[in-house]
This record gives sequence, structure tokens and C-alpha cells, in this order.
Amino acid sequence: MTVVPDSALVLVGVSHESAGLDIRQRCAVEKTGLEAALRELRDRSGVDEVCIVSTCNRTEVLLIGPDASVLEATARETRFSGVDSEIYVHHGAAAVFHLFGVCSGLHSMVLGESEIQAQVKDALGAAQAAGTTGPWMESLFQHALKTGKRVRTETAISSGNVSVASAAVDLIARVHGRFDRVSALIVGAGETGVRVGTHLRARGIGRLTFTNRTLARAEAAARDLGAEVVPFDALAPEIDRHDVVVACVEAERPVIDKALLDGARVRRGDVPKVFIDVSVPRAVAVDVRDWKGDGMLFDLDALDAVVARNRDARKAELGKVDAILLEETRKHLGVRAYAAMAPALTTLGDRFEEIRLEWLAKRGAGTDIDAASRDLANRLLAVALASVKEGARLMTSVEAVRKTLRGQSWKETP
Amino acid sequence: MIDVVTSLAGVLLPVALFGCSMRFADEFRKGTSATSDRRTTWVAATLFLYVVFFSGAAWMRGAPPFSGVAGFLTLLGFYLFAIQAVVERLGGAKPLAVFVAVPAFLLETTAAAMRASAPLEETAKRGLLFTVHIVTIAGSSACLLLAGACGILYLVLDRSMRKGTFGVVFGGLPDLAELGATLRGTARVGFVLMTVGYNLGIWLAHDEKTTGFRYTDPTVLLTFAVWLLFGVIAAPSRIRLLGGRTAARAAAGGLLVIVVLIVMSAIPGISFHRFTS
Repeated sequence: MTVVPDSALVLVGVSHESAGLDIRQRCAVEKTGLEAALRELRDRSGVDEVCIVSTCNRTEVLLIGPDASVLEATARETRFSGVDSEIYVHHGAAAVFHLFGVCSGLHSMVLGESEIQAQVKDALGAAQAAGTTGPWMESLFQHALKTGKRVRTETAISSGNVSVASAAVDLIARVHGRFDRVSALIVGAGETGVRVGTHLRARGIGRLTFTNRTLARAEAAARDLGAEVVPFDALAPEIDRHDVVVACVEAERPVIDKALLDGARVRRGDVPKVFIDVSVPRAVAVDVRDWKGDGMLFDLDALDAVVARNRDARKAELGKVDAILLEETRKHLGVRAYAAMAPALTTLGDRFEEIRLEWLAKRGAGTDIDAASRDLANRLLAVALASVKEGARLMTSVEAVRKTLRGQSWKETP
Repeated sequence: MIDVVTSLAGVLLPVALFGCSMRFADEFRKGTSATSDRRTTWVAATLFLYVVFFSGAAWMRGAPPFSGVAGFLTLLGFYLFAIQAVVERLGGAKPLAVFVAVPAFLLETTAAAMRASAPLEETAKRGLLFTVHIVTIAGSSACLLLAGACGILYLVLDRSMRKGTFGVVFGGLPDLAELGATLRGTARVGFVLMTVGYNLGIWLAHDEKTTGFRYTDPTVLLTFAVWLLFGVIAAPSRIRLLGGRTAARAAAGGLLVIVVLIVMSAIPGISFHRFTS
């Protein structure tokens, strides 16, 4: 009798960690072709369940079937043909651990990002719609999503902002705290300006204003974000009217300097006026720091320092995340082992019944009840013990999972 | 029975404040923003001990135990702690708590040590106006000390951001606007209390013909200077005289002057004003 699941799980994939963009593009599965790709894999012999996670940074195929080597060969032949050196393959516990890590944002380009959670959910939805999932695949993905959520709740892996635009918003928060009473002027309506504006709007900024040399461009950016537009010529008085000035404009010479602020008689506030310069070359002159009205200037170097700090804070959480992933992997394998035991338990029940009937048949008149019942108990116990021993040998523990995953565990990764 | 309970409360106060300091420091380090039940319990228990101590002492002595050095330090610690709790309750700067609990712990430990060495601290019974004088002066001192602490933290965070060092200070302290608002708010309350306490003190000194009192006494002059300084800091926004950073510098300076004033009042011979006189 065995308690091992009779199905194998294999994960084969490429990601930004293993392959360049060209290879990733070659292996990627378009949304429109996802259903066909899922069915094609599912129709191959030896494949019971299939799911494909395909994002701009990764394509991973998860297969469940009776034979792991067949599953791996199927994935290699179909989706990853000719890219043997760039792919990674995980079997069983390692595959579970990897998927949980993906869902937690550990394998994302931006550590801890949460978009992947939705992408994994979409992948499961697509596979369900295509009818290529079964009980294990579904429980695996549900568990992965739950683990991703737990990791983000219990650790700071997603805390702090790790993009320049959001770091700018972080800095503003450290000066002003609440955004609802803050007004921000964005000088430049390019991609960066719009991104900063979007972050500010998301944080509930009180008043948002765009200005740009080409007014039409500022109007377009402002329309989407519900912002005001002011002419570029009115820069100095507008700086006076706003608490925060974000410069993201291409200019040969700085467009904001101390002379401009002094000339416009820009008033001093209760907290420093914040100038954020995300332009290269600088759009805000360094002498703004000497402005008597108290200006606080943050350039790209400062923003990079904030991003690095937040990134380090996320990395510092990897140990905690590792422990959660190991625990959840163990739980999942435990649940799988229990599910796989169902037929074994049925067999055990049948065997007990056989023994009982055998015992009843042997029991004749005048049998010593005490001795006979002890005999029955011993027989049942012998069968049960044999099953337990086998189960104990094959059941997984955290240590067993850790051993299986040696070299993959985040804590152990240099 | 009351004397046992009062003494016990006096002994437990430093312990409770130490517990609060550890708790707040841990939350500051972790950057926790949610108020935990355990935190609330620590704060409530400490405030309860203060109430028990003051009530018991007043009952036993027939007068509030404020005029001795130890009593004044305890009152100052209580005010610091209670004002911070109120500020926090009003949605103010929570990470400030650790910067209040630690000084309150030190004040209370000093007071407890003084009480242990001289348990029968002599206090003259001076009537209601005298009690009001002490209570308002201690309250204003605590407010202004808190404003000074906010000023120092404001300057530390401001400097850290200007220098581009985004470490624990950057992540842990309240934002500049919040520190500035707390600074101005506590300065405003402190200014009002000091106006009452200072004038009442002068009137009492005249009325009771206190030995050695003169308007040129260093404590009288320094207290007036502090009163004026915090009046300028606390000015309403329409006639605001100082910007955020200048107000923070002024409040930090005011904190030092208040500490000097307290020390001067504790050392005989420097001024006409002494705690137990």
C-alpha cells in the first residue's frame, strides 16, 4: 500500500532571471492563443492538468500527470523547443515552492511587486475556462494566491516604493504628511510628469497643476488626471501658489533657480517648499537650496537613494518570506498527501472488513471471546501499523522540504 | 492602607514608564502605525498609577504633593506623558511617544530616588492659588518641553532629508508638517498656561512678600524670556513671525532654557524661587 500521490507536478519556464528578452518573447503565449496552447498541451498523452503563466517577464508551464519525465519532455518539445539552456525545470515540492515564490513577487523584476498576483489569478482563470485544470492544479493555484497574500500581509516585502516617480511621492509625504491639503505643480507633461501626477492623484493630492512649454500637451495630461493647466510663462507666480514643484522637463539650462524665486517674491511657508527634479540635465538649479524662503531640493541622486533604501528594506524581509514559503509548501504537500491517501484509506477499510469476516467465520461455538477479540485487534493493528509506517516514511516535513529545496531557498541564495 | 497603595504606585511608576519606553521604542524601530491593544493598556495603566499616586499623596498630606522637587518632577513627567497621549489620541504624531516616555521615565526615576532618600518631604500648605500656580507652571513647562522635543526632531529630520541620508530617522519620525503642527499646538497651550502661572506667581510673591523677590531675579527674567519666545512661536498663522525651521530652532533653544530654569529653582542660593519655599 502506498500514500504517495500517484501524479507528478512539473514546472518548466523562462523568465527575466534566466533568459533575455528575445527568448522570452519567443516562448511567450499571447492571450489570444492561450486557450489553444493549453488544450494542445492537455491533449498530449500523459498530461492530466495544465496551466500557463505568461507575463512580459516570464512564461511558465505547469503540468500534472502520472510521469514527471513525460511531462518535462512534453513541455520542452512544445513551448520551449530550442531554448534548453535558458529554461528552468522544477519537480514536485520545488515546483510548488517556486510558484509560491512567484506569487509572492520574489521572482519579479521589482522585488515584492503585487501585479503578479493578479496575473497568476488570470492564468488560473484562463486554464479553468479552457477546462485544462483539475483538483490539484486548482488547489495549488489557490494556495499560491493565498500564500502571496500572506507574504505581503506578514512581511514588508511590498513596502516602500521602488520607482523614481513613487519615491518622489514618498519624499513629499515625509514633508507634508497628508496630501489632501497639498498643492503640486508639475513642470513638464511628458511620461515622467504624468507618472508622478498619477502617483500624486492616487495619494489624494489636494490640487494638481500641469505646466508645459507646449500647452496642448499639458492639457492632455491634465485632462486624464483631473488637474489644472497654467501657462509656462506664469511659472514663478505658480511656484508661489503651490507647496510642491516637480520638474520633469528637458532643458539645456535650469528653468527654476534662486533668482526666479527671489524675483517673484515667492513666500515662505510653514514647512519647506519641496522641489523635486527628475530631469537630466537639471531643471532646478542647486542654488534653490540657498533660497531664503526655505526650499528643499531633491534631485535624481536623492530619489535613487530613497529607492535603494526601500529596495534594501524589501531584501531584508527575504528570510521571513522564505520561512513562510517553506511552511506553506509543507502544508500544501501535506494536504496533497492526505488527498492521495483517500484511496489507500478505502483499501484499508476493505481489508479490515475482510479480516473481520474471516475472524467471524473462524469463530466457532465455545470460542474464548477474550482471546478471539485480542486476536482480531492484533490483526487489524498489524495492517494499520504497516500503513502508518509507510505513510510516515513518505510524508513530508519542513526539514524534508528544506532538503529538497536546498539551493533554491531564498535564504540560502547568495 | 492608603500610604501603602501610594508608596506602591510611586515605586511602580518608573517601572510602568520603562515598560512604555520599551514598547514605544520597539514600535518606533518597526515603524508600526497601528495602535495595538497592548500599547493602550500600558498607557492607561501608567496614567492610572499617576492618578493613584497623586490622589493618595494629597489625601495623606492634606495638600497636593507638588511643591517639593520630587513632586514637581513627577507632575512634569505626568504632564509630558498625558499631553503626548492626548496628542496621539487626536491623531497626532505617534512616533513621538518614545521621545516622551524616556524623559518621563528618567524624571520619575529621579523623583522616586529622591522620595526613597527623603520620604518625609516637607511641604508647606499654601492654599489653592499656590497649587494653581504650580499646576499651571508644570503644565506649561511640559508643553514647552514637548514643543522643544518636536523642534529638535524637526531639525534632525530636516537635516537628514537635506543631506540625503534616508535611514531610520527618515523612516521613523513623523513628517515635518506634523512635527511643526504639534510644536505650534503644544507651544500655544504652554503659552496660555504659562501666562496664568507666571502672573499668579508674581502676584503671590508680592502678596506674600516672599523673601528676596525682585523683578530682576534670574528665574523671573528667564521665565519671561521663555514666555515671550513661545508666544512668538505660537503666533497664529495670519501673523506668523517664524517659519517652520526657525520656529523649530527657537523651540529647541526654549527647551534648554526651561531645563536651566528647573535646575536653578532646585539649587538654593541662585534665585529667590525654591521648590519647597
